[in-house]
Amino acid sequence: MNISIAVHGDAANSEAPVLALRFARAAVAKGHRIYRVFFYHAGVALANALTVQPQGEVDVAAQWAAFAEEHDIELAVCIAAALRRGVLSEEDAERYERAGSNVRPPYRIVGLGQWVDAVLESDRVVTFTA
Amino acid sequence: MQRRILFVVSHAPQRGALTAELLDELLITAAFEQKVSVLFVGDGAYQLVAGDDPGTARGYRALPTYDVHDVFVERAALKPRSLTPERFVIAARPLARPAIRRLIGAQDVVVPD
Repeated sequence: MNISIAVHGDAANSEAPVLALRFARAAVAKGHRIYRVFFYHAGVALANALTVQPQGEVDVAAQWAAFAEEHDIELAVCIAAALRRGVLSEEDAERYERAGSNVRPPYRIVGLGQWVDAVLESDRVVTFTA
Repeated sequence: MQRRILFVVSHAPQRGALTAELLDELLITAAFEQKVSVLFVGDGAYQLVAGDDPGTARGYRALPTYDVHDVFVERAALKPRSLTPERFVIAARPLARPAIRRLIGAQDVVVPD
């Protein structure tokens, strides 16, 4: 089955990214394909390369990145939500004249249309709210 | 391929940018010519009065322009919050729980806020 996942919460304030990753791992283990993971609302913070987890704490943003690379899964981050929360691609940093960019690959900044595309192309859509 | 997509709104408004982002999501999905419906449940019903926020009211009033006509509100959410449909910024049909169950069952995709 083609599954898309929306993550609405960040790691500092919610369980959303942790639960979503657990679900994604289980789905892949069962042979399903993750079509796209879409980070929206506060969830865009996972793409922020400047966050630092204290030693001994789980870095779920890094876990998502590793999982996505291992299974070739797209981590899509909503541009409008990201701009509001200070997560900027190189292109956006230049465009809005900010000091630097901070998107951690393989997270990718995309438009909200990519979420609608995921809704249309997936057999199942699962949202993890904050 | 047109899909039946139901947005279930359970959060009150006035949570920073979250309401504006919900409206973006709603309107963009509708702009892709999908069969979009919206259901306000619990505190989400407060979104329908949106008295203090002209941007939110304007967003919801734009729904019919995007061909979103199926707007519902959980009937049981109204009385405890002293909400009456006359105060709503857009028409929303009150639904009892069994009708909500049927509405959700008829969708391809359900998106919570």
